[in-house]
Amino acid sequence: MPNNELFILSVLTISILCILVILLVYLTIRKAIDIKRREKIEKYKEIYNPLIFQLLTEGSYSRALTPESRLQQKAFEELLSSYANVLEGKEERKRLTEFAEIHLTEYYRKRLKSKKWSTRMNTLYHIDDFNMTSLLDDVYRLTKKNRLSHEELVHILRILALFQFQSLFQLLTNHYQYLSEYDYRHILIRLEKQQFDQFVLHFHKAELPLQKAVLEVISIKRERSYLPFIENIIFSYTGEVKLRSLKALAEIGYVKNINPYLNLLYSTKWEERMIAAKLIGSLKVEKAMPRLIELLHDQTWWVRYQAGQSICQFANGKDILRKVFETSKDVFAKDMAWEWLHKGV
Amino acid sequence: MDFYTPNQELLNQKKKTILFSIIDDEEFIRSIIMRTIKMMNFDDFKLDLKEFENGIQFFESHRLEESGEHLLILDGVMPEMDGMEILQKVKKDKNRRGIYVLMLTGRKSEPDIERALTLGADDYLTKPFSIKELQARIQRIIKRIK
Amino acid sequence: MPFFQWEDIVTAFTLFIAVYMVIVILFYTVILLISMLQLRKEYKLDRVQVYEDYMEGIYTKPVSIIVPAYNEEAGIVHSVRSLLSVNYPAFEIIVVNDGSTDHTLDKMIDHYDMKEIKKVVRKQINTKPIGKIYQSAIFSNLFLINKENGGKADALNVGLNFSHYPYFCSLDGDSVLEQDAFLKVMKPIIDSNEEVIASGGSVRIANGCQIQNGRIQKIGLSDKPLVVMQIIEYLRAFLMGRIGLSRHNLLLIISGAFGVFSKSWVVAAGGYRTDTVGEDMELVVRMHRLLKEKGQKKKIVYVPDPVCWTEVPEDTTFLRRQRRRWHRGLFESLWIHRKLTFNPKYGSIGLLAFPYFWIVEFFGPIIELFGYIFMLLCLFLGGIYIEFAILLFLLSLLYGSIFSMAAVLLEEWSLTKYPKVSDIIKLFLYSLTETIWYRPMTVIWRCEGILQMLKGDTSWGEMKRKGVSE
Repeated sequence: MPNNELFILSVLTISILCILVILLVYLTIRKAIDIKRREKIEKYKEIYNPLIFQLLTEGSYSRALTPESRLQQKAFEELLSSYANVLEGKEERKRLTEFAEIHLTEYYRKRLKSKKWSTRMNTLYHIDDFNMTSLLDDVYRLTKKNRLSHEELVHILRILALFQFQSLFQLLTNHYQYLSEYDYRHILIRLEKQQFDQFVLHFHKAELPLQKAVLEVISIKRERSYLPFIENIIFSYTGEVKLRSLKALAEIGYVKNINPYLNLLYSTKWEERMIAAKLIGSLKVEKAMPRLIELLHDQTWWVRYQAGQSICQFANGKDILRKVFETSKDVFAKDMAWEWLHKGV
Repeated sequence: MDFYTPNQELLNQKKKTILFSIIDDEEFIRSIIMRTIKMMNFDDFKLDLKEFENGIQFFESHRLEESGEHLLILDGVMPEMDGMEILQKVKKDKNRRGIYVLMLTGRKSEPDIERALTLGADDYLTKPFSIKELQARIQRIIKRIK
Repeated sequence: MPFFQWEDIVTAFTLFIAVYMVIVILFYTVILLISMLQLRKEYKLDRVQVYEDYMEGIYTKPVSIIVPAYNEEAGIVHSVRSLLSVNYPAFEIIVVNDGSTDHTLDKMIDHYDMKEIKKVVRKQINTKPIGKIYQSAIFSNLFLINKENGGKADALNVGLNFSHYPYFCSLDGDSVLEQDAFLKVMKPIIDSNEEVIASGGSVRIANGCQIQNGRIQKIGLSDKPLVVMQIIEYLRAFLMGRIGLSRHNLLLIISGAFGVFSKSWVVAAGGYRTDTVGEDMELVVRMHRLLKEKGQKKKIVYVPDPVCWTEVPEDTTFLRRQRRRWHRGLFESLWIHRKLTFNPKYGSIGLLAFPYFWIVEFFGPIIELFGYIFMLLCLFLGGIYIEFAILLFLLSLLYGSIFSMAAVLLEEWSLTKYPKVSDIIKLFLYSLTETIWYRPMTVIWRCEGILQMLKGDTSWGEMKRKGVSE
């Protein structure tokens, strides 16, 4: 009978409506409070801004700069964040860090223990931005937590890397071998030479993703001091690792002896041809020019592109490109020559 | 009450005016630059500081028509009319002297830096920047004005 | 006796409609819960991660922004201008002039000092022939391609053929992107290391907002009821529908206004289809299909934070045309790929997403229309039928207004994009009225779309562009 169901339905609908209205009231009040809070924070920021500016630039400390209430701390945090994004002077950043460490350490210590994921993540961002090494142990302790989201974990490791944490190597090789190359790269790139060397030393025992990441970081940083290491890898590995190390070599852009690499220009793998072309460009090896011109006619776009770029790096590069453009019968080679002749309109 | 000696008064009148114009769409950055300049010492010059949100505001204010030496601090990338366009417009008149431009560019944009210098920027500063660097660059340009 | 049969029919129909609505309500409830959980987690995350460290990642994932333009002389220069200052270090802009009959081409060439370039363009996707290609002398990453008229899909395909980068996004000339739009939308792609092949950003309504300098200066709620209702609709669709669906890789629409795709996958899927009005959805369906057929575990996701603001119709004539067109497009996409429906080979797309779109999104309006008709009928018939009428009314209230109110609250709970307290209350109260006027109206229009389709109408109708910026 529709009567019964109707009754239940009406009751249901009305109760849901009531719940929604209650939620609305709650959210409205919350919003009103938030708006007031936001106004207060902005007022504090206005007061603090010139003081913080003075602190960062002259190091002069004002007693008015002691945040006590939660809102004041938030105002500081936001101001410091804005400054952290904009400033990069050594002295300035040091003062910023000092200031943050004095006033925000306790606050962040508590927030790192929060149950809310977003609170912890935001705190990690700030610790990162402000370079607060005072919280190194607290950040490290977070790794012992049971249910750590991937994003959180990677961020923690990145912070530890930034702080040049001594045991990072053990941590990564004993506890976190399942991370992706991408993650490792994000972490390792922040390491300075001393810590990074450990990874280079133990390269052969590392898993593939870690190896690739190490090579990638050397590529990005173009660290010449790792040249012997790289050349060693090139000749003792094959496949992806070899390819990556070739890439690193190309980025570094220098070898003592180019000859072992010349036959890569004829490799069956396009990546190797491309990287060899890049190396030739960096080192301006004249005798390889004919082959470079041939590579402008290569079937792979990337190889052609790289050949074009490398030719440009020679003194007479543009002339050569012009000749190719005028005389070649290959429409793609002409196109590539044209593109490099007109790079950066 | 201070009395200027006749010599000092003459000196004061002879002080050149530098008109700083800061054009950046971010208020925070404008305020930092303003404060930085206010912190600096310009004994031989009179200062006139003004900030603008964008190029259009700047040109509409006819700022360049005010007499004195102009130092523009421009953000390289802004919507509507970006730093490069302003630079082009400002340097178009080859006979006009007395306009100096300091460009703020993004860090990893070498082509941007190149373009700024080709278009006639007197100096550039990459973002993020150091306040000390900013001061140094401004001083460098000021020295050329003297 | 005829009256007896009549009674039975009415009861049967009512029951059918009621059961349908109950099932849909349950489904919506599930999606709502999924969305709540998802939003709760990300809620209050301060910002996009420090992108300094992303820089390398970003440089390996440059984006081609394709802007198909047809008779956009009013706003094209402006739109391109604000795209040029987008906060993403590696991108190019390709404006495709789809045979405009106004001065779109000239304005672009003039303002951006565009010079003709000779380029060999590989036809990876078949398109109508293209004319001259231009590059700006001021901004070397700005290109303009002139071609004969072929429709938006064709223009997009041309842009695709020409593009140099592995990712692209298609942007309507009239949308305003938030500053960090690309950073936010590319994040899942960069983070996932190529597992995510398409990422869509949330679209919000620009009417009523203060827009200056090509940026949203202040978010505001429009006064016009029609716009307010559309805002509620968008909130509902994005916050509930898409988040929930995206979580389980069931996303079928990356809205026409803003989405980033992997070029190689789109080309592999064959580019945009030119014979449908719902080309965006159709493409996404085709990509899902390709993924399943190739057995690849890639994902298509969606970012809940609003990144794109677009103008919506402010009066009923244009809104009506739009809704009719959307519904036709929906049908076309579903019909072209009908073989996926209930097909286990296509996993959750075939077993969940497709049936959902057929049953709820496509047939829904027809059933709702009958629901309204029957409601009125029952009121006329009187007696116990009044109870039927009330039943149907309550169900459509739940189906419509209540979920919309929930979506409004969800928005306030998690994203809080609207600045004033009165905004939320206004949105809430308007959603209460949805069942009474707005929903029936859109339902009728969508049914009209079905009628049009049956009659074989394939036009786009003219959409008047007001221009978004002050």
